Amino acid sequence: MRSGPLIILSGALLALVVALNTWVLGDLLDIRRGWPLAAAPSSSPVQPSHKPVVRIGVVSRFAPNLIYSGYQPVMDYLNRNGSHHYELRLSNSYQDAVDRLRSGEVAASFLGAWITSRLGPDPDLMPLVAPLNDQGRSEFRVALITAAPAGVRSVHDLRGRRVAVPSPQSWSGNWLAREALPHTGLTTDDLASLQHFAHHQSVVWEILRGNFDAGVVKESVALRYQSEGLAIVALSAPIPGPPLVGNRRAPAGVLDEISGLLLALDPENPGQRALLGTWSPEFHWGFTAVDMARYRHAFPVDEATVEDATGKGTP
Amino acid sequence: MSPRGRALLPSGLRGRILVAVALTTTLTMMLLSWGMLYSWRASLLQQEETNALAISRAFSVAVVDALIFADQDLYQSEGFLDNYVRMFMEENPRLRAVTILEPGGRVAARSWESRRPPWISGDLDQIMAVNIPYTAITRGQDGDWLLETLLPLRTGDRRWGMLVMDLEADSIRHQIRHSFVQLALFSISVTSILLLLLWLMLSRILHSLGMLVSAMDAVDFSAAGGPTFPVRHDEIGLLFRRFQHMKNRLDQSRADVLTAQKQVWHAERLAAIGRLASGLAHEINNPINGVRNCIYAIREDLDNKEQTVEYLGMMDEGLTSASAVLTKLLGFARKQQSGSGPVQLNEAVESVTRLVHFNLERSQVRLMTDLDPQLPRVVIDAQLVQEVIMNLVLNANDASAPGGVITVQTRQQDGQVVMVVRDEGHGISEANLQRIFDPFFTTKEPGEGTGLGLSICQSIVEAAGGTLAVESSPGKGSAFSMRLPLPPLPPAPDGRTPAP
Repeated sequence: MRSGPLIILSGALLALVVALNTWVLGDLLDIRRGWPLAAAPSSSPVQPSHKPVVRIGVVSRFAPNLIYSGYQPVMDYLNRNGSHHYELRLSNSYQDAVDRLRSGEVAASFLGAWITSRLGPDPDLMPLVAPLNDQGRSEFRVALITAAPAGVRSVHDLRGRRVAVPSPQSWSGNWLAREALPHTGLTTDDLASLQHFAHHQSVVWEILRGNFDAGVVKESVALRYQSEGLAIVALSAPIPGPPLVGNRRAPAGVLDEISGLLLALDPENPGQRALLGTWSPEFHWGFTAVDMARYRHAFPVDEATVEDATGKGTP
Repeated sequence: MSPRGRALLPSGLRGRILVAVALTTTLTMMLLSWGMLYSWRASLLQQEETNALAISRAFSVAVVDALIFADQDLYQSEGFLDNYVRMFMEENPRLRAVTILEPGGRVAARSWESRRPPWISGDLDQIMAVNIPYTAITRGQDGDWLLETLLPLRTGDRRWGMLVMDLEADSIRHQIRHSFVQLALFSISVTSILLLLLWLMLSRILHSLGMLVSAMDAVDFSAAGGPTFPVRHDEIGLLFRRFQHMKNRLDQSRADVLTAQKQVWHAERLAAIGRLASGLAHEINNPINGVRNCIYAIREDLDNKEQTVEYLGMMDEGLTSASAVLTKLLGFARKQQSGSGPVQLNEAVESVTRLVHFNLERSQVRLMTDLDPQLPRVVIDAQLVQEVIMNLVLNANDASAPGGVITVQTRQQDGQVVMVVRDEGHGISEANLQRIFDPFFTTKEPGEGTGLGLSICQSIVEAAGGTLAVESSPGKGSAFSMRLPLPPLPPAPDGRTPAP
């Protein structure tokens, strides 16, 4: 075999392979990727809204980010279909939410049922709508929850236990002391501790972390966290759903627009049901119109509590 | 392929196979490696972009919370975002810059190292209108590679702003380069091992083929039997067996051909005898007529005892003469055991001249011999060489006119034994001279010759390793030269072969 041509051929091949691989390596290392902004969908410039701004309050039953994730879609719906630009206005506390509503800073506010019943005889404040449950009724319940290792199986077992509850200005924060414990012959003094937290989720986290043996939250919240080890020990009797309370001093047409748009939602309509599915879970089944009498009837006025809620006191 | 291109290719089978396999393997490995690298790079970049977006999303939760707090005046949030950015940068060594833009494009917070991305200066409104996350890989002004993410901060339709993160991307290129080198080394190793194994295998195969070729070269086709090959059970072994089988069949064919050839030669011998018949008949007929005349004379005078005794003597002489002729003829015609052995060519010439003497006398042609007494023996069948001489002399007789002379000469020349039969006959034309040794070629009248004589003579001489040639001039005569090789000398006592 002649070795000369083979060496020449091998050298040429080697040079070709090296050249090709050098080029490929350079191409591989060039990892530049530009911004695909030209093809970006929905790339319309941000246009400030020229509609009149209307602020809607929300009682601080959840953390701010949770409130935004659940209530901002409601604002988006109102903004797309209404003649105003609606913005959320969060509060530090239940009382703060009532104060902002009463002062007119917000045109309406998502309040709790308990605090609504304690608003007092203010002619400007009126419940507009309240969410429906899966039975088509505007009712909800609160639940006594516990974590499995705590060994709490009924309200009776709460003696000597550490209990966490939401705000004292919510029915969830009052049910245990006003109804559940008295029915079993217990008082809050029989508990090792009773501590209020600002948000329902905070109660859940405290129990799951083992800092408390039991707690009270809205039934919908309890159901959402059952898969993480929470057990429902007891449920309250149905109470009216948490209403959206309006202030009659709001700009003309605002309250009617809000009520009309929310009441127009039909959970039987697949499109609207999908829309409601993106809202806070308590809104998944639509809304119904409510009035103040329903709340005052459900929660008879207690002088001390009325004063707490209104900040003015009620004779 | 051009001749120049072919010249670059190795001529050997092993070289060509190695080059072909090396080309194919190298090309295949390169294409596979490139395909894997490009595919892997795409996955790597996708993964890096996903990771970068995941980092952005994770950070965006705290950022959105801070923006909500700031928007709602829920807490004293002054400096929150800057602290977030700084702490996040410290926890993520790959981060090079973080920028938080408000919905209007104003910088809400940014890391100290943040630069103003060039794309922002171009179309900030368009950037801020982006609704879904984007990633890009760019090369910074200082040469560093950056993986940038653009994450809109929003809740529903509520826009909080835009989070822009720059992560270093040099490590991605390092991974790509590292994988490239690893794959290249793997490819080189695989190709080298493959070529080495192929080279070893080819060497083994070619060694076996070389053995076969050497054995084929060493085969003595004139001898029966053949080389002994090693026993193998692969394709090479099959080749060995097939070659041995072919050699056996060739030996058988050669034996068959030799048998047929000898039959032809014997037939031609009989034909030569036929050509001798007229002379021989005359030679036999004369004594018989003499015997008959003696018998007639004895019968006429039965009482003449003295005459009878004289005539009986003449009759015996005549019968002895006829018997001698027939003995010579039988001696020529008898089919003897064939075999080559050292033959004294002069003796063969003399034997033939004695037999054709009658024909020459009848034709009035004179035969002269010039025989080298030192002529060495040659290896040829004695019967066959007589047939050759017989044919040449009878042909010369046929070509000679009455009174002509035929000369048979033997000599040693150039390491060969040469015998020349020369006549002074009519010669052979140039055209016929080219075909004189062709089978069935004859210039005689139909029925007077087979046309095989010279062809057979040539085959006999060539079978003995010699040549038979003719020179002729029309009108002047012809000369047939038979050249036979000298037999190899026996080895000397010291084992060396002496020079001839």
